[in-house]
Amino acid sequence: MSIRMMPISAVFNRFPRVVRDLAARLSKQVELRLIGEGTELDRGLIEKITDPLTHLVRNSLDHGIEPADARVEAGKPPTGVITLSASHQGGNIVIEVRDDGRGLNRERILAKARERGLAVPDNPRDEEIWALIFEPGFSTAEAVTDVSGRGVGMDVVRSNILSLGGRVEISSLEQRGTTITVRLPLTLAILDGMSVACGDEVFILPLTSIVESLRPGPDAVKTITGRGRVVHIRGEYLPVVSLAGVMNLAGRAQAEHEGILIIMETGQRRVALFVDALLGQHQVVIKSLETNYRKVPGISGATIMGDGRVALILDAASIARMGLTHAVEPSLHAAEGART
Amino acid sequence: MTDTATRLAPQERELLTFLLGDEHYGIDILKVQEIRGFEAVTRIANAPPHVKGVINLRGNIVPIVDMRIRFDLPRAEYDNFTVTIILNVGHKVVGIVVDGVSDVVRLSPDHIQPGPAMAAIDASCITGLGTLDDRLLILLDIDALMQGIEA
Repeated sequence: MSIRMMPISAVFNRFPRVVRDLAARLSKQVELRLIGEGTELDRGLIEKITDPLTHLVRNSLDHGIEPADARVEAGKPPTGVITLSASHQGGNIVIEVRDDGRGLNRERILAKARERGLAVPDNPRDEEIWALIFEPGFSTAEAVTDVSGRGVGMDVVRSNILSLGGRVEISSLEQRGTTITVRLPLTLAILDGMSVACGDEVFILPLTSIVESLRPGPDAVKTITGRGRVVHIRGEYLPVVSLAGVMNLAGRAQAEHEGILIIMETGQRRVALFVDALLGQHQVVIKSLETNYRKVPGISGATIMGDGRVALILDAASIARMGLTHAVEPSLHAAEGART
Repeated sequence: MTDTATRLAPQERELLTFLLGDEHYGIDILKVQEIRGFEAVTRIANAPPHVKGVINLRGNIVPIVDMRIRFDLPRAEYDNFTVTIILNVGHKVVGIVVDGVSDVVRLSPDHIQPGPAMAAIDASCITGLGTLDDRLLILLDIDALMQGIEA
């Protein structure tokens, strides 16, 4: 395990130079503080977190920290401070990018969001407004520089971090600065999963892809042209994908109301995965199938359960894709069951 | 197994023999990692039919191939004699299910003749036929055999 873990200084070490160069280019005075460089994280994460972090640091420097005269006017020391810190909290790595700059501006972001036609709730809370800057095509910088204002970036940062199983949070106070918090799982080798039963097999579904699970009523699932099946949930029709169908298994539950529908969110798409039963929540160690076998569609790996048996870990995105492209076959099981 | 310590004559091959129905097969013993009883496998979706699934071999995920299905032999019930031979093929570890393991034998080249060219059999993975006490021993090229299951 120790081989897999590396100190985050491997990433942090590049930032003094990034900050110095950029500050000189923007004629700003900036001091970079690094905290918790010894924090260890998975080697695979190190490689993937470098670009998003670089983006966040450059953002802080460009958008957050004011020029020296503006800072003095605001009663702040002329040199801005960007703090980059890393720590372990529970099973997570928490990386913070904090600046003492001007903070995010509610009105500017709201105005920009309306201009872009983004959906904004009535009386939005601060967090809801801050979340808007992660929308594609969003930038509040007045001028487009070669550093920022292009509006590509924050949405990429967020999707990169989500794909690593992490989360991003923003907190900001006007004139006091902005803190962007990135939470990542300690290692890519451990996954929070839900074990589900389908026929005689047990599968693990990553918890991050699950929105909710429910047992539909007998009439909740409708058919389209007699084959494609959809379920009406909270005002939305979601396609039903049968795990037994995708995996070529004989599921126990024939009709949807005998089993469980798991609403999965994969990328922009939501589907309802039809399984026999939910078994429980586990932290599982991911083992590769490719070491001795090969890549299997719909499966991202395998794990060993408490009783020593192997359970396959589902890849939610490709299961959804497989289920939707082979929609005829899975629905047949269910349709036959519904008729009897 | 006491005589295995003695030196092999040049070009003599040591083989593990196993049974599939009435047929005796031999594989290079240097490829064999271990022999274990058959245990329940976890099925893999959309795998070729002869790939039974995967097992947990002390923390490693190892695919299991049923040799009867691979050779289109009639299926046998798995019983107490059914064993799994764990093989090292290239850098991979693969298990094969056979009806039983019989012996470890040595075969000198004069007892081996090339495999027959017959349309009815899959000759690509048969390296030769050996004779041992009037028994026919089918020698398998395990690397060629396992090519089908790798990516």
